[in-house]
Amino acid sequence: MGIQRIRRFWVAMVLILVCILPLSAFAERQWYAGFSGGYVYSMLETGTGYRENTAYVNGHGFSVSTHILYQINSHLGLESGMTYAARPYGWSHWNTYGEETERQRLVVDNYFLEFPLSLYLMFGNEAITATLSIGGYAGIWMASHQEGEINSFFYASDGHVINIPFDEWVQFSDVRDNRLDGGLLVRSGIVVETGGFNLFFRGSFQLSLTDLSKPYQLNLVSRYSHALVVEAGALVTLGGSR
Amino acid sequence: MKKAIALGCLLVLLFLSCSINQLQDPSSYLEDPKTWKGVFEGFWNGMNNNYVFWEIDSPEGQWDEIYKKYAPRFEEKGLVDFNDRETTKEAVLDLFEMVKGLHDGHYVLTVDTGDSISDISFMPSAYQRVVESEGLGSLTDREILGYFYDNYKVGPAWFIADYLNERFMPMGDGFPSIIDSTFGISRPYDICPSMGAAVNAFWSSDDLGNGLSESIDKSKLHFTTTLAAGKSRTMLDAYFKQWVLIFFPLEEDGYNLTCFAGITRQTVINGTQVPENVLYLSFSSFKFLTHMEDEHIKAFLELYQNAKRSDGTVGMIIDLRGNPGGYILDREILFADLVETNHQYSWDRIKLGGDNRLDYSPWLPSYLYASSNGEAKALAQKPIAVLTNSGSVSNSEHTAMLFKTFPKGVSIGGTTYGGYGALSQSYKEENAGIFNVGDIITLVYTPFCETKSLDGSVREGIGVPPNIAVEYDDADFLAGKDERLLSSFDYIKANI
Repeated sequence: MGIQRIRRFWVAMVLILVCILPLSAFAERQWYAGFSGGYVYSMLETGTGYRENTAYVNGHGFSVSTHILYQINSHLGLESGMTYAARPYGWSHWNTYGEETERQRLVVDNYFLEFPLSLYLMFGNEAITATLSIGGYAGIWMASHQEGEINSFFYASDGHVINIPFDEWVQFSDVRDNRLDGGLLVRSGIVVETGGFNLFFRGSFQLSLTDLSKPYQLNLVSRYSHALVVEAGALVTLGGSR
Repeated sequence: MKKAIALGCLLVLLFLSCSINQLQDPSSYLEDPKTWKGVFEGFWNGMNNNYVFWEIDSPEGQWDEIYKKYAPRFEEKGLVDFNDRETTKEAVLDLFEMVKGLHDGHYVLTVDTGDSISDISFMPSAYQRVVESEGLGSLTDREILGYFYDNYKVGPAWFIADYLNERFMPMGDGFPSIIDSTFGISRPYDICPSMGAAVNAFWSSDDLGNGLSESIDKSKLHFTTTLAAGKSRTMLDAYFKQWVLIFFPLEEDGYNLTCFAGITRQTVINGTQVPENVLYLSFSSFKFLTHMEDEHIKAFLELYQNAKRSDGTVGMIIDLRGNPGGYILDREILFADLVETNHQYSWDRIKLGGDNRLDYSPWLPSYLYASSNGEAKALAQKPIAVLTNSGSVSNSEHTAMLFKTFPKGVSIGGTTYGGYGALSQSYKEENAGIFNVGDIITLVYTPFCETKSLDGSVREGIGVPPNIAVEYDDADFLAGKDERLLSSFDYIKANI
């Protein structure tokens, strides 16, 4: 499954480039650079199967980005840049054998460094522009932090349950963890030009095509880290032939 | 441009249609009519999700290779039909063969073979010890497993007891052979007329139990053993100036708790000087937790706790030979007052955050919790020897690891069994561990928790090595010369 998705991802990237590159032949060139920050609603796509006493919870993260926009004409551009994003999720397990109690709780904060590349479409006037971007991203799973608590199997001599908290950075496993990150990207928003700045507000959906786990075993349960992002930022003109 | 947008949307939809593998309950593979392939799939996948030692047992995907090798073999076997004895045997031997190399010291695979008497249980760690101690000779693995299948006796423990010579297994009634041989105490098993109906409790202070705690209901005591007036009492009185011995039948699980605590006299045993005021503790298993309200156990613990907290006590010997483990909380009941603050002695981890083989929690510190006020902390600074052998399992091994981290703590004797994992009732409790595959594989007995020592080594299936190794001599032991015990007295004496 994971390999299939990666293969499709690269096919998609090539297709997008094939669509975009010929357009530069009639370019009305203009470069922009900028930065943004945003809120990330992180969605883990996975399965719990018969573990009816296990649940995953979507998380709340952030993103900070730098942007490079190459405007080809008044409606079309190419956008790239660099994004550092936190895409967390939660997991919990509770005992259903006897008395129903929560036994283990976990919050995983995954941090990614991503390099998006998208086709940038613009509609509007000089003052306000609606934008739509379609593209992909590739990146690296930079770090992972886990925080949580395990109950129940440690006890004090007076019989009360000991809760063992943990809060630490994860040491990646070469066997288990797939640190290559990539997926598809759709963005939509508005750009407002004011005082030499282009302020933008937009929402994005990132569809991950890379499994967080390497295909190291049969019957692997895949985990894909998707995200909805709401961000605000500014672009400044760098120059060009406009 | 519109085409580009349409293309993008199409791609998104295409990728969204990919599905995620959903795990199935192991028993769900057994649909009617039951097939051996269903048994195999349920077992392989149940292990894949619920076994906790994959990092050491499948570091390079060995469990996947087992799938590829055995899946076609089970496919060929067709329907489960216990009347077909040959196919049933071959299928069960295949299951045994799949797990024969696992490191899990607790692991037991129990399969219904259609035998009207009992299911058959296979313990890989026992099998490995047989192969180690006896050698395969000209026999193949398959032939040894076949011999085991054909000659199976109820319960896997006999398999170890028959092949090892350390006399480490508790007897059928939970009576440690150590007490039997070393101190010459006859087992009550043969002489108690109503096993399970009476508790045998003996104190050094009185032949017939007078002078016991006033709260003890003496009508429940059984005094007609040879201990009361025989050789055993004389021997115990010669070694210990104060002692207590309890034989406690635990009917509900067919296992008894025998516990002994004594404070030594200054004496000589087999030419070895025994220092005065050494606290000696031996018990058949960690089963105190569920009997804390029993009057005899309370009285036993009172003597033990008092001795532990006495300034006059010069050291402690904890004899865990043949002790198969038991409740984790017993460690706290017996030893928590030795520390004033939580004392880490190992690391533990469980399956967490996913159902793939390597989805683990972080390594978490395992402590002796200081839930009392450290009333016995002075003893923790004195020499403490834990006696171990290859019958010291599970909680015994944790206890050995614990005392090895004390200033003058050592383990003496032989390497332990190598089964550290903690067990729960079902995978539903702790997200891994015990499961079954319908009514064919009736039990896969395996822990949910993995342990590593403070030095970072995972010794599951290997055991805790002693600080002071003392060779076991069966003839000497049976003659009453217990070299390992004598070495522990030497250690205490040299480190007072």
